[in-house]
Amino acid sequence: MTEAEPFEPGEAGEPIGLWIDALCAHAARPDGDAAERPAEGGPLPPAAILPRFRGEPLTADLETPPHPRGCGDIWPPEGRVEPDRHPGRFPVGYAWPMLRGERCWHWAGDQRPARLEPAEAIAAVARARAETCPARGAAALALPPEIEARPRKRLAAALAQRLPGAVLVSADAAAAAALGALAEGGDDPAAPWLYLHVGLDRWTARVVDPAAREAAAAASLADPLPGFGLALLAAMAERSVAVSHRRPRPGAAWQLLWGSPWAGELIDTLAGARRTISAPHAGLAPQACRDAFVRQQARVPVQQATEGWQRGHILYPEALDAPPDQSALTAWLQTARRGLAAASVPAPERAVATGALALLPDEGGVALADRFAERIQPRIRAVRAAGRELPADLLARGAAIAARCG
Amino acid sequence: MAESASIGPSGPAEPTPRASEPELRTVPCWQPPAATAPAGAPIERRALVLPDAAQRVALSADGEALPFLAASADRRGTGWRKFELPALPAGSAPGLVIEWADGSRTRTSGAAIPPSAEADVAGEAPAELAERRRGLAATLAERQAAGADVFRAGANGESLAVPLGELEPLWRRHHAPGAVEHELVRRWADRLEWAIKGVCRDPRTALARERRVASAQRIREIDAVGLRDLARQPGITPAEKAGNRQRLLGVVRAERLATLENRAAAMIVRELEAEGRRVLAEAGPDAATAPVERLLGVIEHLKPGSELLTLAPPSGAMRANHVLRNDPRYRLLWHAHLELAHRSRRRADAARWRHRVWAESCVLALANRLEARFPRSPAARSCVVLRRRAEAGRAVDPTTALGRWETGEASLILIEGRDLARFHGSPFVPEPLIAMAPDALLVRRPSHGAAPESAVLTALWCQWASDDTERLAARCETAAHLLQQAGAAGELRGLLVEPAGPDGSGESATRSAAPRVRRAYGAASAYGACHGVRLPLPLAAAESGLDAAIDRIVAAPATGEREATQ
Repeated sequence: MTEAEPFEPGEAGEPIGLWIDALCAHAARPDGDAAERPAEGGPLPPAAILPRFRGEPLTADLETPPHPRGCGDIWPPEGRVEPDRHPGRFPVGYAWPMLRGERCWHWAGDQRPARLEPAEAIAAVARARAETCPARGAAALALPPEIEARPRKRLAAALAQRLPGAVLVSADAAAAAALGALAEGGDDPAAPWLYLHVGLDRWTARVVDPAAREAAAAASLADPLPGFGLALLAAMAERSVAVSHRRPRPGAAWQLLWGSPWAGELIDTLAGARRTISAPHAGLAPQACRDAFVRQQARVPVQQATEGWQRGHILYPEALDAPPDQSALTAWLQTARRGLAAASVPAPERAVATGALALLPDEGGVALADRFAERIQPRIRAVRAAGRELPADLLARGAAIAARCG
Repeated sequence: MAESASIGPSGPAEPTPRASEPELRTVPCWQPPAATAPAGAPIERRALVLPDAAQRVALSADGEALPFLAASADRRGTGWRKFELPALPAGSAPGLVIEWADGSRTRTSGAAIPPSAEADVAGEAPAELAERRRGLAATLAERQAAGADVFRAGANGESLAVPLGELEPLWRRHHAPGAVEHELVRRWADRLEWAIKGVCRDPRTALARERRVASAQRIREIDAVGLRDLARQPGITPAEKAGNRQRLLGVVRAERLATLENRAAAMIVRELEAEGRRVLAEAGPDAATAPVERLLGVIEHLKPGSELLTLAPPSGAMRANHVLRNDPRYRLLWHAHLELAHRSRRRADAARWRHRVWAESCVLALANRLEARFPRSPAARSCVVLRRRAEAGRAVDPTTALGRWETGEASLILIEGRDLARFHGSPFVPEPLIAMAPDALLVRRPSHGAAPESAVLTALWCQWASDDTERLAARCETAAHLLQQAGAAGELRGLLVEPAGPDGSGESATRSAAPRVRRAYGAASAYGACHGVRLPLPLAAAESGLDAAIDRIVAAPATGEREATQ
């Protein structure tokens, strides 16, 4: 892999917090100001672009227009996506699960084969995102809560190479730091709270006790549960392509998912935060999207969605874990509830939710975050979710605050 | 078209079993071998048609392979392959070596290919286009060394890849008027001044032993020939034989200037002088010619007093000796000589493959103009791979493939002709169009749909011809008829690009085939409109012509986009 050029943090700039999920790469300063250059294009699902030529650096795609490599178009050949072969684009949506699974992305390429560690891909995206903030200090990257020690160490090494001085902050610590800054009048800063991360690929439930001074203040209530977000998005992309194109071609769903802003817009539309999807990527009308989503969700277990994805030839099975079925979800919620009851902290009365799926409605029209919080702790008084009551870049902001506080 | 000419055994235009002398046919480049040739003005760019078992065809004189154009099959399933012929001088008789699929080879005797009308009138323009491309490659190499976004490609890194967004300003700079960067100006002039001064003022000489009649006091050595000469002189003693003037034929040691390296140096200085004068004559008003003028001044100054510069050139084929290879001054001169020799070959190649040089220049010009007009498109990040050496007139590597341009209403894809073979069997590109071997195909698709019937295809042909507009119009008509025969799910258009005449006139012509409307996928489709355009040289001055061509390419389908995509 090409050596990255030295990254020079700003001299007196505030730290920059980063939060990179499958659909967006957030950057924020401790005071919440993004302080970045205005983006010229719309946001793309962040992805690392593997080098094709000798001397070409590893780059990242963060905004439109997408790099042609691995974008799923029929031309040029480097853009094509073929069944069961990794293309030259490594979406972060696959990088997080692959980081946990210690797997690599291999691209055959037409000039020379390339191989990319997920940690390097995430570090490249983090660097590209940090570079859009002109006056910056050290960077802090918020980690999904379920990342364990070994992949965390690998990510730290990759980050040290591409973004010297950057630190890793766990998502619950970042959320706690951000909540401290965003505390409202009625909040008891010492009261414990429930932290739910409803991501595309993993769901976690933790209880955070601000009164505890130890590093392991956040206690996991249950083992992380594989989410159905990636499979759901793929199934929706397949449906959308089938509506738009009379003859679906291989790679069209991939292009919609990872080579256009469609996925982020779809999630916003489903969550009710957006009315329309950009015209070139419309496919399904918003109402049809919601209907399809409800139907899709009603079919949980979502094994069908995964199978649909496989039929679309864009599934990379090693990138995903087995999705949960309904009984697994129920069992997970019960385990979390028991874990909370057994925890040595008072029952939390407030909850904070992050993750791309947190605001998606379930069959009853209630946001998943609210539903999960209610099932885990029925006496919850308030659920505050990123993108609803809290800023969407909550974790990035929290990571920046945590980095400033050392 | 009366262009078909048999240069093998006479007979019908049918593939014959492999024989010692296979049938060879030439057709206009764009004509599918099995198609009926419509009437119209002849096209000078020609192709050789062979049975599909022919894998490779080379000119037997120098082994140069003929570029493969397209494969096709006629109605009876008989396969053909087309190979492009260089522009051959009138009455030339190239022998061919044909390699067949089973590994056997056939050598054809030299048979005269009928001369084309424009065979000898290419002028300097193709060579100039090739020099501009070479200058661009040299700039890219410098930028690569400086760590810019220029990457090495190919198995041994012999090519350079640069994103189109980075290339566009460089391309415009190198194709501006007066921007031909001669190697002599670019790399050699300053250093050659030092080398020429050094060689002329202090040339290497050889200490040679030679027989010379000299005074007896100076003779230190006499060999057998000297002794025989002495013996034949009248007299008894050596003093008597030396005669009144006391001179003998002996062996003396003398410095000799007329060595191989000095003869070569004198010849190279004369070559450089001629090249320098040519560069000055061709240079534009803004060209940086000061180093060349200084170099010519140095040569003029040295000429009167330099014995070296009066030496005759070496006889026969010249090969570098130890001095030419290793003495820094002579080595520099020798490298300059090789560069000049390569340049001559490059110019000859550019003239022979002028259609391909022109086609590549036009496609690059079009891509760069599209980049300038629609800069925020994925194509900006696609890499153009440029080889250091051109092959059959082309230096853009086949691995180059650009992404799409977003025009707002539609997306536009540019596919080079050599890549069309990848689309055999694809619903987007009809097979007959592939057999017509366009230099490029531009596919316009509406942004919100990708069905084949919603696409508009524009086939681009480039040829080096600068005759009158009527003949251009006749060629457009021929192309339009051929396009009509091709048939496509969507609309099919043609674009014929030729260089403008010396006066720079960029007239254009449009001809359509008889309108034929048919129902295809529930939508009416129009067929067979071909537009001809003449672009002035240098191509940076052709922006308006390119814009007009692009406007035609991105124009919505004649039948209306909404209707076509329903």
